[in-house]
Amino acid sequence: MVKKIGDKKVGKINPTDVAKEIERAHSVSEVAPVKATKGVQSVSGLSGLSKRGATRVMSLAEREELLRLVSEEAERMFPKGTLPQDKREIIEGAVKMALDSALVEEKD
Amino acid sequence: MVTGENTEIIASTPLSKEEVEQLVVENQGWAESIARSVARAWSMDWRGDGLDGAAMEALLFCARRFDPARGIPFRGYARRRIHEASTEEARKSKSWKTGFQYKGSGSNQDKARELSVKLLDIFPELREGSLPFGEDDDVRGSIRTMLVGASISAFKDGIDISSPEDAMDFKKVVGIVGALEPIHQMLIWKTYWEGYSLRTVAEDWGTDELNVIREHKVIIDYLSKCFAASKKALRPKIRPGLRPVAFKLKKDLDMGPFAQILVHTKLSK
Repeated sequence: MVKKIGDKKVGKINPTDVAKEIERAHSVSEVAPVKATKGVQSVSGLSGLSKRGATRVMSLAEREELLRLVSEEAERMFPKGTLPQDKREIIEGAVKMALDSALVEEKD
Repeated sequence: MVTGENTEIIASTPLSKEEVEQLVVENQGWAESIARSVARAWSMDWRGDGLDGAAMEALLFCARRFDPARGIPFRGYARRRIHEASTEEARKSKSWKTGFQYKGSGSNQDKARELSVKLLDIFPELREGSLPFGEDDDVRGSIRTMLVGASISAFKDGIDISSPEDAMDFKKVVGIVGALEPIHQMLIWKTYWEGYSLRTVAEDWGTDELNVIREHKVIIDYLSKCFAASKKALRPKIRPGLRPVAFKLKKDLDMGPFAQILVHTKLSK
């Protein structure tokens, strides 16, 4: 049976109860263990990357190794007959000097 | 200058005089080691050639302007400036002007020294103690980048076109770079000929800096293979992020700057 509107009239509205007190908050007694996370499925595209790519900081300890690598790479890049010896010396020397000047002894 | 009870505050400096002094005292040894490194690289005397004074002046300058609220560590803020001051002083010194000839070495060492200064400008990360483009810990890649940069700069500045040997080298370099896409030629031109940083090039082109950095790396890898002439390298393609710039450049220019050199000089013959 469907009740018709107006079947039962509202007689009065009871006043709402006013909160008399607030219960004290209980201290946290325990925290449930953290559930294992699932593997990240995807990463959205990077945004806001406006800085130059990461750089690798050098140390004075690797000086000899770095200078050796310069000679090795210069030999690979300019094998015999591709560049006059004196030009190769200038290019290789310049790279070594620039690198060497950047290798600072880190001490307080 | 405002003087308080015990604290003197230097105008426009965020730190008190005592804090500035403390920074200077704490970092004096470190600043001196930067001056020593510059002197070592160029076979100079760090004290006799005045690099110690320049480093200290730069340290004091940085300490007075350092603002800890910016969240940058002091040494990160000051290192480049102290290195710059030391190299500038080195270049003004008598040892620099007299050159290696004085010490019995060849003039090649003098030319290498001049070229190394240009490398420090092209790769400013070096002044901060970092390898340029050292992504993925690719030390060899960084060194190759510097060698290519040094080669291009050497050909640009040290060329004696009347020497047949130099003319051949120049023709080879211009020929290799001139065969690249105009945008790639322009990138090399702006960086090594005009001395712009990659960041500035990216700003000029209205594109993300990473686009330009990665494209530069690809071009340098290609050029290093071409210089070695060991194997035939594939000419790099333009990455999608730079295609709108490349399209606009092609509309504005008939050809890239290196191709223009080839056309407008007798080198193409």
